[in-house]
Amino acid sequence: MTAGFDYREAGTAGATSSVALSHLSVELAHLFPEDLAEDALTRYFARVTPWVETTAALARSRAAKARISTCVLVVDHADGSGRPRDVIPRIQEAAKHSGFAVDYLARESALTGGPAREVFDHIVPEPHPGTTGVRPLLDANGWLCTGKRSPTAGGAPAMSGAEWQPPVQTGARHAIFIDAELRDSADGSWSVTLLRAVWQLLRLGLLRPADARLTAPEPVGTLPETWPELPPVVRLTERPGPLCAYQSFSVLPSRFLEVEVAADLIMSMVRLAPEVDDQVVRRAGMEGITLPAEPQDRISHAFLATDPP
Amino acid sequence: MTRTEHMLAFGEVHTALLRNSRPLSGHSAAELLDLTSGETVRRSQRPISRAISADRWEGVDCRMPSSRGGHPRGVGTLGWHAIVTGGHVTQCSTHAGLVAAESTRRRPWSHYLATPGRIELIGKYRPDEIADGLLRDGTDPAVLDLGAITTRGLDAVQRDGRLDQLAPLNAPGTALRWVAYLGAETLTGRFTLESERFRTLRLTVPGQDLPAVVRLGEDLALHDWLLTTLTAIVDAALTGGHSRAEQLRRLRPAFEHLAHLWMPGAQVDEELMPVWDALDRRAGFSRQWAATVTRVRDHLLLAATPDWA
Repeated sequence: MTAGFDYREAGTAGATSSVALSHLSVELAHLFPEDLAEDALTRYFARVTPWVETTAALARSRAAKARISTCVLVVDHADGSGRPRDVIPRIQEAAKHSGFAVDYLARESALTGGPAREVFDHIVPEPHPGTTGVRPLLDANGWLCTGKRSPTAGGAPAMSGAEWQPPVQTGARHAIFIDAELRDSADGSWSVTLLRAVWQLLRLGLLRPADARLTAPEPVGTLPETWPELPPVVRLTERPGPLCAYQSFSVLPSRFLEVEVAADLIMSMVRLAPEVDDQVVRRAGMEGITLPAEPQDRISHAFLATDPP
Repeated sequence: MTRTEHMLAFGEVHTALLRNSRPLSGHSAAELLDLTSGETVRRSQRPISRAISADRWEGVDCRMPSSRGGHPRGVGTLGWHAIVTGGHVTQCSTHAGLVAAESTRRRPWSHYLATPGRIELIGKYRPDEIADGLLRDGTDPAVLDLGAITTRGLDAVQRDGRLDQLAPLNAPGTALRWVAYLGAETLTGRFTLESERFRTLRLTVPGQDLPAVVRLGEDLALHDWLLTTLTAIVDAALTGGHSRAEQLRRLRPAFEHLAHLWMPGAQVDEELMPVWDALDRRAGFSRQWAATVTRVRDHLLLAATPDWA
């Protein structure tokens, strides 16, 4: 071993960025265009109220001065999503009618660029027994599954004698096989499932996208005519708790049940920068909160039965 | 052999000429290797420009190669990254460390994701038999296929649309597979030219610095490829009974594109440099390189000089 002279080149890797964290982030709604009608919004928020009150009370029972923030996610990149100038006051008014406020509003399209790519790139799919490395696990067409697909599903011609083989869930005796589309193979667009995983990871402070406005929202200012003019996430109230939080709670219509299960599957196979998770866990620890090791275990849900028409 | 003191690690490095007519700038190489959104491509400038992609992980669950008898089951992830050196040569390097599993059952995927680049072996095994099995260029479809993962990584780089697919010379790729016992008493090594395109390296290494071993493998693979490629081109040009003009036409690109890339040991940690020294002493890597380069240079020089005859 020679001593003395050492040569180095400075790496370009930066220090782990930091975000402000609440104790609890409450997602009040994931709003599609059809949910944006005034009476539908009012009815929906009325049903959400008891859940918000209960989860906030639980958070306060664990930490006397719990920081709690509320948010909604708006599907702004679909036809009929209206103008922010009309839609946002309508959402605020409907919430106010039920006695609470929406602190943050996020545009779903803001998740479709870098953040979605980042989560997708960090998926390490769980290998089914017999995976030798010959085939890539995450197919080029962007499907992720919980096991092994049925090899003859839909493929074998009638009377060919090929016996149907069931799909198999890795590590389970009785399989619940899930095959989730992450991106459209034709146009490359991200699935609602992947975007839900991105949104949940973002709210848990585990995703630190290049656009800091996603984790540190700005005040809304004058409401614009079109969605792209609006920042990716806007703050609608004065001095709310931070958007990101140690734990999150989402109230959603029951039609989101499968989407959330699949988003959970994605999160269980994502390996994001471990130092970011360490940072969040350490800061929670300093406030006396022990976080579950798995990000998806920091998320709670309430699924509401669909309203009669 | 106890697990805490010794660890068997293994990897494979594929080396090839980048499919582009001109060398890439350091910046373009870094763009090409930006395979994972949100992660930094490492770059260094001295003594040669080099860019390395962030590590990506691939899950496997399969029988491990073994020279005899039982093939234990290995579950975990392998890491791989791609490299561009001097804007001209590209490599894909895979690696993993092997440890004995603590139980005979497969654990939840999160357990393996927490320690990427590690494969846990379920069942009894003898490290020597695994090492021998890994170094055999086998074709058993049921066992781990290190070559397939490495090939796929290299293809991902070579097929990038930003490359013009016009390599300046015909230079087949090479594969180096290595195994290393970390935590050994002394540093020993054996480099074997198994076939025209397949080499093996067997090491025992004091200490536990797996990344250093990975870098050594990459450096040896790069220089073995350079030497193999240059000597093949020179031999073909000078022994084929070609006209002098034809000889020059064949020699020039090899000399222009490869000669300056010889930087033995540039990426190798001080502790592992004795491996290079021994290779130079026994196999004469640097002497053969110098002799070949001198031969070509003399030839080009003579060709440019007036004929005195």
